[in-house]
Amino acid sequence: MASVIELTNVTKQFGDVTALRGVDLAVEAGEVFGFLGPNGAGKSTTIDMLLDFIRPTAGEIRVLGMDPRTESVELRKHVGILPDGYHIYDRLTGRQHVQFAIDSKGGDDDPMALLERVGIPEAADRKAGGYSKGMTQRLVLAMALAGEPDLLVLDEPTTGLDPAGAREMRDIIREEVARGATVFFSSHILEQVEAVCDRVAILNRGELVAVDTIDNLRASMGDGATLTVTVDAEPTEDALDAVEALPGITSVSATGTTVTVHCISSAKTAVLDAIEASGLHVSDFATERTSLEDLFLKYTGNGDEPAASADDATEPATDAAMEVEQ
Amino acid sequence: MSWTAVARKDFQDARLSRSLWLLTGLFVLFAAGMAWVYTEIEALGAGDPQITALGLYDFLASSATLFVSIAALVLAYKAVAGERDSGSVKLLLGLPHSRLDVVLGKVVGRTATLAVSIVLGFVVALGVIVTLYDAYSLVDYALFVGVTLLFALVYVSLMVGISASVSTSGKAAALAFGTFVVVELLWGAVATAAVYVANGFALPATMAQYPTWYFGIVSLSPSAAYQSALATVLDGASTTGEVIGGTAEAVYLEPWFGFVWLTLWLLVPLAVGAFRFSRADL
Repeated sequence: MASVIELTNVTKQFGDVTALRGVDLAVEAGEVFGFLGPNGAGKSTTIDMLLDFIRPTAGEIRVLGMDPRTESVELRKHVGILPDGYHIYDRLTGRQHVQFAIDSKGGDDDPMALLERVGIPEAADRKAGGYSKGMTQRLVLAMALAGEPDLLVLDEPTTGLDPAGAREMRDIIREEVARGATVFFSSHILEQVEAVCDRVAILNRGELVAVDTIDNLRASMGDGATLTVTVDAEPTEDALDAVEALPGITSVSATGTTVTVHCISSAKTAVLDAIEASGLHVSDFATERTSLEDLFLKYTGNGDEPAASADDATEPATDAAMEVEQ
Repeated sequence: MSWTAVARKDFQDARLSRSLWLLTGLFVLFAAGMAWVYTEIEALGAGDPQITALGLYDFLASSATLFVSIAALVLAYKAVAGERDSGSVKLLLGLPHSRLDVVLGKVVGRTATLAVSIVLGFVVALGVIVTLYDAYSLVDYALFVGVTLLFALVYVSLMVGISASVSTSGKAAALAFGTFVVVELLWGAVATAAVYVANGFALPATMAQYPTWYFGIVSLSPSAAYQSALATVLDGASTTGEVIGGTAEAVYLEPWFGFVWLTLWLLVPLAVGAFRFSRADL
């Protein structure tokens, strides 16, 4: 099967404002794909186009092999959405909301089972207008899960959830992927993305600035993880060379019995194994990851931006795009 | 077609609206009151029971036009625009409904909601009629209620069409209220103004000199069309032309033509609204 989500040179303008500019993106089946970017970067605009809430000014979009514009209804039978900036029906109960989603998809799920999965069965027969933000978010997630969608699109899914709720959200995402679904999930909360995503895209000011695994992104920054290993004797040159020869290693240095290795995160185990293999005993080690925050800021921040070429031109547009997204 | 799911959800939601129940309460009182007041008026002069019954429907219909038009406005002007405002439309359209299904579902759901109020009001009024009148026809009464329900469908459709054609509740409110004022309150003036302009910025001296199409305009407003339609099913009624004092003859002045006008009011604004909604960025 082709990519689950495929954007080709997609541009969206709201009047004079360019909210999205020439975005190319492919999300493969079975992935958990994180869609990162600061507020106003165009994340919701992109998601709204996947669901045909808004239409691209130029470019082509395929979701599950379908064109959202012409096959919108058929497409949405296979997609579960937790949108951004939604509002529930205050006068209807939680159960009625979920039942509506089930009826709409023509399924025969049990609304209570879905409400139990998202952790709010006790609120099933209360009017949703009285729900807290977190409960509302869980309710809409339950609606999204109705009908076992092939693709789950979650726009800022952890908004309003406490840490325990955010963890449950991640568990549900993993369950859905295990079932065979693809998850496309936007966030500006980096830990959430890191904990659950296979790959991420970073969107800034309407342009895609990076698409890769988090490890590769770290590596591409040249300063992935820093591994500090304390060994029982001073390492030999051969031992250090053996470590340096491993894939994903940026640099190796030793001071006394302390070895410092800069590498990508996934190489850490191999580094420890290589040190042990050279006859040294590892008595302690610590890792310090390049924080995703740093990574993110490097791509989107105001300092040395990789995608700063059209910057002066996009500056006013971005502020307006931010308002459009609200 | 998934409009049934939308309609069911919308009915569940809208029938819990407080303003609707307030209006319903008023209508029940009003319909029953009208039925009772009419017996009082009728008691003042002896009447032929046939004419009496017909007069009662005219009486009830005039209260129904006001109730139905206002209730439809209150109930339906936010039907689509309000969901776009709040963002609940993203829940609705995140599910597999076409935008046309949403619009149709709204019309059906809100009409069903309004129908509950109308039937409730007329059941109570029937109680009054059964108690106070010697001669009444249940068939006529059922026909009367049926045409009134059709009128409610038309008005809800008009309001949902307006709601679907704009992006915010504020615009929908302005447009819905403006339409109500023009169509219900100022329609005679609109028709007169049309004659005034067509006649070279002067009005004809007598009613007899008014062009035939003037009466056509007068008879095409939703409530005039409703009353024409009622006159068709409750036979023996006057044509709209005669009602407003003209002697003009034209096919569009026949009472049955009221159904044609009602159909146009049902379909045209809804088609415009659905078209605009289907092309809108949410």
